[in-house]
Amino acid sequence: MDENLMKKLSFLCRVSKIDKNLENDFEMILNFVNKISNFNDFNTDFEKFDDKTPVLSKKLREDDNKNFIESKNIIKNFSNEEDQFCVVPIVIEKEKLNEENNEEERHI
Amino acid sequence: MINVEPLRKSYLLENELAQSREKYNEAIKNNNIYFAFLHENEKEIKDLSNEENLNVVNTSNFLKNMPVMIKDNIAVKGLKNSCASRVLDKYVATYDADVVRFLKEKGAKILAKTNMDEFAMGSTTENSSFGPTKNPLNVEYIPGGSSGGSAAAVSCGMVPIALGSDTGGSVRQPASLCGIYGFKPTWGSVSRWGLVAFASSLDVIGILSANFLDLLFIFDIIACKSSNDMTSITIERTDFFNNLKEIFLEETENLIKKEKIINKIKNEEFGQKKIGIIKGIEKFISCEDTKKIYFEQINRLKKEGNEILEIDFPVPIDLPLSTYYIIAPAEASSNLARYDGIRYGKKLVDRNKINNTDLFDSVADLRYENFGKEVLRRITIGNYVLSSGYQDKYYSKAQKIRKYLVYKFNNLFNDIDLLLTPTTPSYLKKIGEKIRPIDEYSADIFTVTANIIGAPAISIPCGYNSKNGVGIGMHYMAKPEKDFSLLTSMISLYKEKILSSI
Repeated sequence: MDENLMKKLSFLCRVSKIDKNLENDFEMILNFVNKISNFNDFNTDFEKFDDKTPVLSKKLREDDNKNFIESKNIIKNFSNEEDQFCVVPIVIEKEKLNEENNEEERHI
Repeated sequence: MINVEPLRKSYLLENELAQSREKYNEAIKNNNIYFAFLHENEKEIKDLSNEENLNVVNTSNFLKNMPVMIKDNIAVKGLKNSCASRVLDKYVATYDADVVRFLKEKGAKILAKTNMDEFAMGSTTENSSFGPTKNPLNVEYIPGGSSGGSAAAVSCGMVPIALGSDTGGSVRQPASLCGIYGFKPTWGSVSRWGLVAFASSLDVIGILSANFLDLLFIFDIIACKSSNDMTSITIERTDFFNNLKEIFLEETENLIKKEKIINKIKNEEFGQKKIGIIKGIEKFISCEDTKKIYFEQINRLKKEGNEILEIDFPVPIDLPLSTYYIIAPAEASSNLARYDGIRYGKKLVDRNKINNTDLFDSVADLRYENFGKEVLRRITIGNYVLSSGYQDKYYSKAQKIRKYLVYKFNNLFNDIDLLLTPTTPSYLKKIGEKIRPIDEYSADIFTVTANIIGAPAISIPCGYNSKNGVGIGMHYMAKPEKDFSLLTSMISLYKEKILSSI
């Protein structure tokens, strides 16, 4: 595959390199998912379709003020704004705990 | 081949609980054979045969100290939560996931964290950084994945129930191959708080069980809206389920409850179901035994008075699979970007000495060295389909197809109650056998649609492969939010099987 593309991808993935094996698999998977390009058989009524199911509904994610405020409160404890949509604050919690423990040790 | 009987009597209606718990204790000692779990809770395992008042049912011990195992991507306070990855191999959860909290509040005991494909990416459990799990029905074969450890733990009798996560079939496919029940609820009906994200719009926590009634009551406990997960919703219970639950909660002996539940199921008028089957599906079922069992099931259901409707699948049958393998890697590439060794994951060595110029290289080396092959494959694809110049061709198109599938299935479920397919097209492979990634992906062909449209779906154990003994399951999907209707329908369609296991 194009060497520049692989360099660009390794940068986007934040990995030091993309192995030859992975490069081959990548090409194969791309051909596999490319099937969607040939599908254009959308029926006309579909354009008017207003989806209300939970998966795609924007309403569900935006209208629950209480949950939103609670989530905001949780986010306040995060150290970096980028984390605000993470469902699981994994290591930060642990780090905070370690910091608290270290703090306690210092007091002792 | 090791012979195990994966389906068992209901734990919750068990009379000789102490005896049955002793059997779980014995089975746990076989982890060196199956490698079903990674991190154990020594105290809870030790207490397994020492519990008192096992049969007492009250609000805090509704589950009667039920032993449960949890997939290693769901947080259990005090236990490692490694996602079977070297990136998180030292991380110990500091809080309980909502589902774990709900189960603990009702008296469940969490015994261990089960093996899985790294970050839930795979269909074999061979992508675990710690080694593959074996299928208890035939240890030469894979148990499926990514919740293969949970499926194996239930199948070989270590626990009556385990939790897994299902992004494209990761609960149902291993349940099918290990000969047990596997249920994926409607997206949002179970809180994802404490589940490590793989593809957030597809991820659902599901249940693997050796008994249908146990699965039903556990689902009732975990299916509720949580303020920790703003996408969670409340789903409606059927009257039939509410009646069953009333009997179950009565303060009487299990023997009396059992009789009442059996009578309730026997006397219920469930009515005829409209079951859709897909025209031309046989071309996609590669295993002859699976094909045979599928058509036998259709004939039986027809004979029992259900209406079987042959339908045209709204899009080419394999199109949802291609759509899934664009959307899931795209979301994964974003969710896994956080493991940079600074804020999350394995720590960069000598991080304080690293200056700005070589910080990127250090992060890139750490990610390259610690992520497994499948994870690297998927984040590469994910970043490609989201990158400038390709986003419209792949990601935007896949989202359009996803919306189209929601639209078409919305209409389809006006005409049918359930869609029936096999859970998997074949038993996939032996442990260690080399196959192409896209052949492994094809194991999800019948399961991904439920994730794409957010619908509930269940795998029901229906037989075994005649050559290798690996399990064969049938897959039923229903309209989103109709989880309890789907589960009630299963009692109607598999009445004899379910009655005999009470």
